[in-house]
Amino acid sequence: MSKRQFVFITACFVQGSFMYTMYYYQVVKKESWITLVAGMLLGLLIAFIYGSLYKMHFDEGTNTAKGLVEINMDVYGKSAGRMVSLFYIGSLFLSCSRMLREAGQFVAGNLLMGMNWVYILVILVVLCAWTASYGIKYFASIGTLFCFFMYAFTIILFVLLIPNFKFYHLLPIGEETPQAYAKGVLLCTALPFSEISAFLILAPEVVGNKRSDLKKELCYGILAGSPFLLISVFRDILVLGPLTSYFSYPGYEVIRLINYKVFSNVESLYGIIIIFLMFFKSALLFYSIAKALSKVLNCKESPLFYAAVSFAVLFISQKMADSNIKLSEMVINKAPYVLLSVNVGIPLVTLIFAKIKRKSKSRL
Amino acid sequence: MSKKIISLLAAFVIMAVTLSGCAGKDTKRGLSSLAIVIGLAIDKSEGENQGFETFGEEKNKILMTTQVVRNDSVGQQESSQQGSGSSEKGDVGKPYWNVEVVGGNLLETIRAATHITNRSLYLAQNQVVIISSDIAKEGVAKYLDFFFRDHETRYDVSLIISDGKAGKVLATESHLDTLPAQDLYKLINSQKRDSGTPDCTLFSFMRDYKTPYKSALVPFVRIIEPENEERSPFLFVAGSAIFKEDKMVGLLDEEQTRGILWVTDKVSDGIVALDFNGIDISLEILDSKGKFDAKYSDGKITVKSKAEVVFSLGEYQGAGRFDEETIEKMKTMAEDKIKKEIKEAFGKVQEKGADIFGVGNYFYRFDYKKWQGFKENFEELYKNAEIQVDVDAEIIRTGSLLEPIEANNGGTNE
Repeated sequence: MSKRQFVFITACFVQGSFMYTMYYYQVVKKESWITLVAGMLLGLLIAFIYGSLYKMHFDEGTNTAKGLVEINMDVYGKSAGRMVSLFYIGSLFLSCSRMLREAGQFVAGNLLMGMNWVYILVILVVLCAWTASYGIKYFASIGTLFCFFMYAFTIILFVLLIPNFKFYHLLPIGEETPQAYAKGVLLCTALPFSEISAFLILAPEVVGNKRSDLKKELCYGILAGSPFLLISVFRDILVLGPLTSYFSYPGYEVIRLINYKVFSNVESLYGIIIIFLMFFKSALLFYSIAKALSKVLNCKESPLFYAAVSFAVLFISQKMADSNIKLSEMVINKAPYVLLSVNVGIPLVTLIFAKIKRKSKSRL
Repeated sequence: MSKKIISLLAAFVIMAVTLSGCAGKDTKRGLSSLAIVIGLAIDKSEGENQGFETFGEEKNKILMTTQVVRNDSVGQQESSQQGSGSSEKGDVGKPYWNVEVVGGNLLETIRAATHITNRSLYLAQNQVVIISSDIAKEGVAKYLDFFFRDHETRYDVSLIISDGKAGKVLATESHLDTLPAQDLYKLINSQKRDSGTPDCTLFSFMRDYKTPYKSALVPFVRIIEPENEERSPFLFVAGSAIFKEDKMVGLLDEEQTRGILWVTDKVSDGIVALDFNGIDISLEILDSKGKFDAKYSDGKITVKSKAEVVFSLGEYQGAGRFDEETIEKMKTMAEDKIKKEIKEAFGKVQEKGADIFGVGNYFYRFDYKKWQGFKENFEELYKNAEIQVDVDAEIIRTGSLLEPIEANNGGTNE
């Protein structure tokens, strides 16, 4: 993929996290947009950390890029590096499984009520594996178009909902406790911005000139995808007001209120697009997991290998929580700390170690 | 290449079979397997069990009436004479069937309907939810949970409170439409032409209920039984039910309801009738804007409301010249009338302790710091709040006539 395609894949990845907004409302309610903006700014910092790690380990002489696993192996040594990489892979497994579970539950609860959600989950996982087996080029080829299409569609729906807006729903500002704001910022940063660790695994596949430095591209990707989340959050708060924290999928429920001339009952169409967005992100995560795991285990990415990863994702998806209430509690109360420790804490430590190692090498 | 095509085809076939919702025979949703509900009414059960003795706790039973469309008979009914559909054997032969079910809660009651209908009730096309005033006085929120929790029900359904039995509203034959629920839905929508009834959907009610310090206004329907026995009863939608939290605490008549709607900027059409020095006149509302703000000082809340109305003279039942002075006088009278409506409406809701305007919500949103200082005493402060009304009316047209039709004192018309 080219650098431009890398930007748009990152943007689509951030857009695919739109379902996370339902968790933001549980914590900070109508002020979710503030914590989202803060999360976005912190996300840019996270992108900077990853970009620095990537650039530091890019061999300009041979024009060879290193992915996350190779970087860890370089910094910590082969065995320790593999162990550290397993933490990243574990967090990506959790993210991918959670995403697919939510997609499956969403479809079974709102679109195909007669279906067992596990069947939907199986189909999505199989499709993820199949897409991932063909490599990054399919993601790259549709990422740009899909990113713009999602914006166009969301803006149209936003405009159709304007008659339902009550601007006072955004007020007052500053009502929540400092703890709620802190939790909200952690949540908005962890989901989705910390998950871009997946792109450090995909970065070596960028081709073209000056591919040693992807800091700007990661940042552009976040900046291109974040407004989509902001538009969704504003739309939900302005329409639903105090009801945002009551619904399981507020972003979907708000679309059900559209009833203007021919534009009615559009939620089914919107649901399909949401699923595609979630699938895109899940497939990207799946691909990153497969790539990283194959490097850690030093094995080929064969169909059997993809089948094993699929089974693991299926197993985790089903076992991670008994109900959507439990899943919600897990995401709000536990996931941010786990994700930030692994996806921000470890890369930061890795960056520091790498710099120390480089300095000591240069002294020698 | 052929491997790719085979894989793609296999994927399409798998998705088409498993994701089209026809995974099992029980999940098929053809039109003939659905009982399409277009109106739903909730009443308190008064001992009638209709065969549903084992459903629900004895003291908390509800009687749910759903108006189900008979798909095959609607077309036949429209081509034959209207009103001739009522069969001597109750509602058999009509284009609809009012399914009455008794149960403990809504979902149980809806599911229990399968004991008497040969198909499952399909609520996605429901247009009205009618709740009896008995239930409204006790609280409606627990009954609305089902509508928001279920995936089939829609939130832009009209909510209406009935005077007496809600089920009887669905049984009142319509004079213009085949289906009473559809008639009621159109009746509610046509109230915009007179602005004597608020517009209320399930969503707007729930949003107001959950908005801090705001009360809702819900349309009110009555069944009018004409004295002349040859005339059929009909529905009368006017006025509104005042809600505090989720309980009905009082009623407003049409003018009082309009008093609220002036200030909340919900008046778009209607007539203001005046006695202009012994002459009956009607001013037609062309446009209206309303707003309010509130101030708290010296332990007192003052609500300042403003309405800007544009009129056209619709009727003048008298004689005399029209000049600028006449128009000015009419304008002043209209302003006074609107002020009276607003003050009366505010006084009524104030007396009931229902913050329909959203005064508390105003302070909460726009003056949060000050609000923290007196929110505990708001109920008491609200009851003693003062309203100041400023109305700015304009009569921009006199219709197609420049002079009134009535001749002066029976003299020759020149």
